[in-house]
Amino acid sequence: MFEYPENNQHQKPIDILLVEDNEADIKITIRTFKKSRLANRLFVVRDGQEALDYIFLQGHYQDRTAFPLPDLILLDINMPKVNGFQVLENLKRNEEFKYIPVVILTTSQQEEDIAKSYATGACSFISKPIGYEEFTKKIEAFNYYWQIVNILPPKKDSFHTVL
Amino acid sequence: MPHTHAKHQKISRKSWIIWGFIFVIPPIFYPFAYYSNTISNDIIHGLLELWAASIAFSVAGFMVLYYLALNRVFFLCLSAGFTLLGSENIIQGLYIIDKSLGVNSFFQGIDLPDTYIAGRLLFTASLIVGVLFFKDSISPNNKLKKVFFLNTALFLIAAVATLLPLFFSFSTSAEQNENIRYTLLWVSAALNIVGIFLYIKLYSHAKHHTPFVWSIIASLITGLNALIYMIFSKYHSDISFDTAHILRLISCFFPLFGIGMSLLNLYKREGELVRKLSGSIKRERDLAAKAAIADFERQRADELQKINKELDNFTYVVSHDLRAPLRAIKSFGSFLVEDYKSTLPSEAQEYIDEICKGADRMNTLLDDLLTLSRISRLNNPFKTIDIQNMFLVVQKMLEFDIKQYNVEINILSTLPHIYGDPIKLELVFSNLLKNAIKFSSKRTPPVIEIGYTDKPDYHEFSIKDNGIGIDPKYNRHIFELFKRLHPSDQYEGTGVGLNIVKKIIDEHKGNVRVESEIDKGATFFFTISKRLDPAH
Repeated sequence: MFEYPENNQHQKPIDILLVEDNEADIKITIRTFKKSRLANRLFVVRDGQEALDYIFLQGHYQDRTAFPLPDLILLDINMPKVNGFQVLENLKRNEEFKYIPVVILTTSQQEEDIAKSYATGACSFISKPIGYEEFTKKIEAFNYYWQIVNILPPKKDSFHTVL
Repeated sequence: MPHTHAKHQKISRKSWIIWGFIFVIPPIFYPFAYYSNTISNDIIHGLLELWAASIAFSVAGFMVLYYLALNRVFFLCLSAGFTLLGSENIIQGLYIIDKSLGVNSFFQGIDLPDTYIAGRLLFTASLIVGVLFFKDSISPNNKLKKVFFLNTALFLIAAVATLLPLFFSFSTSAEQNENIRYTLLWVSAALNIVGIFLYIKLYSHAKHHTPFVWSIIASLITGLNALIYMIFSKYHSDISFDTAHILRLISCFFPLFGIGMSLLNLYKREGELVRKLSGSIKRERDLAAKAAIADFERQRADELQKINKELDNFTYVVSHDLRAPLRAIKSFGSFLVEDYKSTLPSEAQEYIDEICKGADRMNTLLDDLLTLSRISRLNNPFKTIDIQNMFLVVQKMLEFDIKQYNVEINILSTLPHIYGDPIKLELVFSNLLKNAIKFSSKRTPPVIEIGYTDKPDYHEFSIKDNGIGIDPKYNRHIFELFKRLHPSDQYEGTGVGLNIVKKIIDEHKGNVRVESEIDKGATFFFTISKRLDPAH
């Protein structure tokens, strides 16, 4: 669908943390990402609490090499225990991790949800369509934007050296 | 109510005739009888006493009514005075008649002439006490208890005074009786003077200028004169004695006249007041009833709002949570076709296709449900909207369908600026236009006409198509939720669209209707109230 620029070789694949509680949705998203041409690394956590654990190196996620800090977080809103908004709030309160862009990926299309997401600090809001084809298009556009069009903040380690 | 009112008036008119007989006939009849010498003077005297008794009792009754109406103890006190006066009159009258007819059985050997003086004394005392009660009603800081005590004391004194001559008449000599009689007469005269003084003071200083007060003054003065005549009467039935009686009678008439005047005044003034009062009571009752109804309605409205909110939440959650499994069905169906296309028999592929189509239909339904719940939940601020412009936007949104079916859209008159919810009104136009396109899509060419009429109180829009039309018997049902007239394989739809339209139009204080016949197209009319516009 998209004509990627030829000189995109120097672009590193980005690490994405997918926060999603629905197994079927996880499978669909992984498959869709796999199908798109760019091989991004997709790390999956099953709920909001796990997402926070992953980022703040808590519980099972104490090894940063096995669980690298993501360049981008794909966050669902409706989740058990800790929901998307709470994850977002926690993240944006933290000086170290607040720069990580968060993209909301949810079934909701409610204006309240959209408004609240942006107000809490989300960079983008993507609603999950029913149809697989449509979703594929969206993910392709997503990849194109975040990897080619957009410049991501430097990763934490290098981030500090730049400063 | 008017019936009973008329009945009541009839009765009161009859009672006035009776009163007239009681009050008017005897004063005309008795002097005539007295001077024509047809009946003995003693009998006339006795009859007059009885007549005076009837008047005294009727006044006593009036006083009780007064007391009941105005709740002033003064009137009860007067009533008691008049009752005693009447009782004394009855005894006196019967005694005189009995004596003059000579067939005495009951009063034989009993001399009662002095009870009448005691009765007058009592009556005068009650009149004086009346002043004190009046004073109480004029100056509120006066102590009612004190006055009541005074009244009771005077009353007891008067009662004892009434009984004393009765006691003495049995046991004492005629001379002693005469002495008591004179003493009582002087006391009575003195009380009368005090009474006159008090009532004049009441009349002049307390500004209690009622006919009743001056009639009592007049009564007391004539009563005083009667007493003086009585004191100077040397023997039974001399000129002083007769004059005293006549004056006494006149003195009794004065308060009656005063009461009558007061009653008339009271009726004129207080009647208005009473009517006003009863009116205000009725109004208050109405207000209270209205308040109760409003309260009830508010409660109902609150309950309804709560239920509606719950329903909306339910719709929201259901539509939301149903989407995830739907997505799974659709996506995995697609995966199946994508990954195993070569190995799947065509029949299996067809089945999967049906599964996906079902999921799609359900998705549209969920979308519509979400819209429905959203329009009930969200209220956008009203503003002035250029409908012409809005319609062009809607047309642009549906451009794909319009081009696909080659639809001809004619706007018959310039669309106005109206005041309303822009997002919801856009939904109305898009839903109705979508509907019109859908049901006329099989015509060549489909023609849709948009009309507008400016009515005094509202805007009326119409959207006319040349489609398949609607059987008029369904005209009213098509705005119900999930109402569909056609199988979904012929015309897609969920049966939510028109219900959304109706809800939005209701919010704009308008109404929506359809005129249609089968195969002759349909025209949807909807109105938007102009009263919503603050500038209107």
